[in-house]
Amino acid sequence: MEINHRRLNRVDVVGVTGRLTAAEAPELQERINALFNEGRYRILLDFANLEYISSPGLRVLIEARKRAREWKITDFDRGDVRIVNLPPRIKEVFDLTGFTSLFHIYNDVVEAVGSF
Amino acid sequence: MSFRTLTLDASLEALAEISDFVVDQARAAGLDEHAVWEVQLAADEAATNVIQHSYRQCSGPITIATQVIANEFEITITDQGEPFNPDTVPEPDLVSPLEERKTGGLGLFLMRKLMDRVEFRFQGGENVLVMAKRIRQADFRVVSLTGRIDAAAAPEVNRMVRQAMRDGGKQIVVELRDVTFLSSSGLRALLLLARELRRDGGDLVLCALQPQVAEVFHLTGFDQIFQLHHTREEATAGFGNAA
Repeated sequence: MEINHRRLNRVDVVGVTGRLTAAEAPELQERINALFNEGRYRILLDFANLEYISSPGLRVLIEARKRAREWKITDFDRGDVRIVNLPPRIKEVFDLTGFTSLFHIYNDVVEAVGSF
Repeated sequence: MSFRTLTLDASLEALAEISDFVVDQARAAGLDEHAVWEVQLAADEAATNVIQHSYRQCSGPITIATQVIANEFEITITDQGEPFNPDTVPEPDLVSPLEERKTGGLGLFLMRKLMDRVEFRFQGGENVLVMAKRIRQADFRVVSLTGRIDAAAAPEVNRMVRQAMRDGGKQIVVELRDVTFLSSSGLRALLLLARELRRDGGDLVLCALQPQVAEVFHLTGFDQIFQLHHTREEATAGFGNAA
């Protein structure tokens, strides 16, 4: 797995490349937690190059979104973890496990960044 | 294909090698690419359970054996860790809202969902997990549409796809190379057919969309519902090439 990170004004875009299994999940979790610790709670995960995910990877996503949502300026301006570019196989895992309805999922980075 | 085994120290670093081994063997057994991925994920979840639960903090060997038997691709995963009782694993939570969502039991749930048979036993001091996937002949039909697909053309689309389904195709590739316009009625016809096929374990995918037709899928969000492929070859690769 490789992680690349782009800091925009309001949003941090985190691209994940390769596999996201029990072996890689802790590293992604650390990277996301590091952003939270800097007070950055608007995170867009770009999965365009994510090849494979298993349940430990899913767990990181859900925990990250739970934490992000707890941070809020007002009820209308809260942290969030959103997803852009979900490949079909990853989408299939999301559908099987009931994750699709838990996340805002976008097809376009500009649109996704603008959604925050 | 003959019997193959791989034995490694059960650690998270072993997961990628286990994955590669299972993929190679599943392909050699003749599973289509989608089934290969399902087997890969099931094996990954099983191995993760062994590493994180059976062996907890300690280590030991994990053995993965594969064979083709009675038209099934069978994987046997053996470890010498704590006895594993699948009945103690919680039912997965697939519906709670975010704040209350529990993530336990997803691995076992996926294994059972993705494989045709999953059996656990504790035997001679070892956990033995046997999982099997039926080997289906990869089979697909290509339906090429032309012109304007609107309300008037929707019944014809329906008729053509149903003809392909009657010919035995559960996997349908709809080629849109010569389609210049697609209306909401056309989309709806495709959606209903895709739903029907998916209920039956098949799928309907689309390929070779002209830009203005692709735009319709993008604007309506239907690109989340359908797999869109650039070429017919790309679309059929996912179904395997046995046909």
